[in-house]
Amino acid sequence: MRGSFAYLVKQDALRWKRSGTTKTWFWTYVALIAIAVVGIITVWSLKGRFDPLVLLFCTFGFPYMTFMFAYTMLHREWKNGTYGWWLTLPYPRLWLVAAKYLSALLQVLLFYAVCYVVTLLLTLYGKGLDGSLQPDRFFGFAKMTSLWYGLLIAYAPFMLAFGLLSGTVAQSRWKPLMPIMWLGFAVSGNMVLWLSKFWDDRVWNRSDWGAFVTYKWPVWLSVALPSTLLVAILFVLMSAKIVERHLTT
Amino acid sequence: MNGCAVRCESVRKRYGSKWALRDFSVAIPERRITAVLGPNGAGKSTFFRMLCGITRPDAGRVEVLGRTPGWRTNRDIAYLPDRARWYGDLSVGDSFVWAERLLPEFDKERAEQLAAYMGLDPGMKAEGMSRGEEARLMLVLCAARRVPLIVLDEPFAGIDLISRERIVSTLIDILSSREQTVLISTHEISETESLFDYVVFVDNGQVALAGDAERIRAERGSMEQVYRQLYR
Repeated sequence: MRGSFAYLVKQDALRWKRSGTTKTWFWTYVALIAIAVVGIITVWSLKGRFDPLVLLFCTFGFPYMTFMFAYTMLHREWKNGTYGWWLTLPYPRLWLVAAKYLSALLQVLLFYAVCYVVTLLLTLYGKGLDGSLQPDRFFGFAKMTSLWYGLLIAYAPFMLAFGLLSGTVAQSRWKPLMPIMWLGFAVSGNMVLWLSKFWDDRVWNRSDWGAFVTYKWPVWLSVALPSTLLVAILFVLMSAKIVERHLTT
Repeated sequence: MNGCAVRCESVRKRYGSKWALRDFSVAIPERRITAVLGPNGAGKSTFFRMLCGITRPDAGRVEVLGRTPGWRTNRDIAYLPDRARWYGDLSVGDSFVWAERLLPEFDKERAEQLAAYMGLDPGMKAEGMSRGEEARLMLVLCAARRVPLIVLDEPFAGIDLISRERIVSTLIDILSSREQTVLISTHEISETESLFDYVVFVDNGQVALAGDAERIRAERGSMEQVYRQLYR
């Protein structure tokens, strides 16, 4: 049927939208967290102790979250009891899995974009409040933030594919492999940290938030990142094969 | 197809040490309403899942509409899964759009008529529905498809009497006037017996008895009596 794949992607991506009571609670928690974060930054800034790099430290967990975006997208078909409908859709298994993958990718990109903008806005606010906001330092920080988010986004296809593969393995006769998958999750989640050497002391100066000057891209990272993309493609294909042949349902 | 919508020959399926189907052989006639009956764990749902290609046999041969089951054959099958739930964020109207976009031969107008008859408000979301309302919605999604085979795995499970009666009367109404093969598994035998043209009793992964409903009734009494005799 024409447009079915795009519709599948849209449906999965929009399922992120919460409804009813859950929606109200979700936004209540978002509001509470926002108030707490702004409050903490206000206090720190007034005491002259606000370091915007703290906002980037929070992103260390993003690769793990990226994995979970894809994992839960598949897992919830089983959790919500809708897998029977999903699995009997008359489309190639690769379509079904790829639609989930792309939906998760769209969600992750949106999430990263929101966090990126919020990071810069909070930096403007905090540094404006403590009186140390200077355009060149802010742009230095913005440049560093952009590079770091770029690395996270470049690594996201791999973590998503790994999450998707783990989600399918969990529902298959290969389920005994899950401890290994979780171990892989624990190790790979912070791989971008040590692969990129982005947080090396030579890249930026902890005592000066806007002192970021340059980032030397490790040569082998040019090989590592494209390799993770290839592995991601392989993982998506493997997920489709598992859905086709090895589910325990 | 030789007059058969479904044909299984010596099908075996095992989950761990437990046999779900063992030398399971059956030929189900087309354009008739067939009941697949048996106690819990008899293998009915495994059989239905095989027809939709979700589960593969370890051995033996399964043919549905003359082909090996898989995602391609699901174009011609409307399947209501066992213990299924519907997407909570979709309203009745959204669900029909979903089905129109993804399920071949889905007749949206027919679905809207059926939903009205079943007392489903188009704006109602599945997450706010009672179990009976959700079951009716899922049944409408299957019944509104103009496909050769409809497979309903326990469509009455956990549903109150009034909803059950409404579903049965809808099934009689829509299925008697069409050229579709329908497979239903249910434990509500006495309420649904009038629907069946053909019956397959399954026990321990094997066919215990199969035949025309009329003939079985004439020879052995009501389906409920036969059920008690077989599974006592």
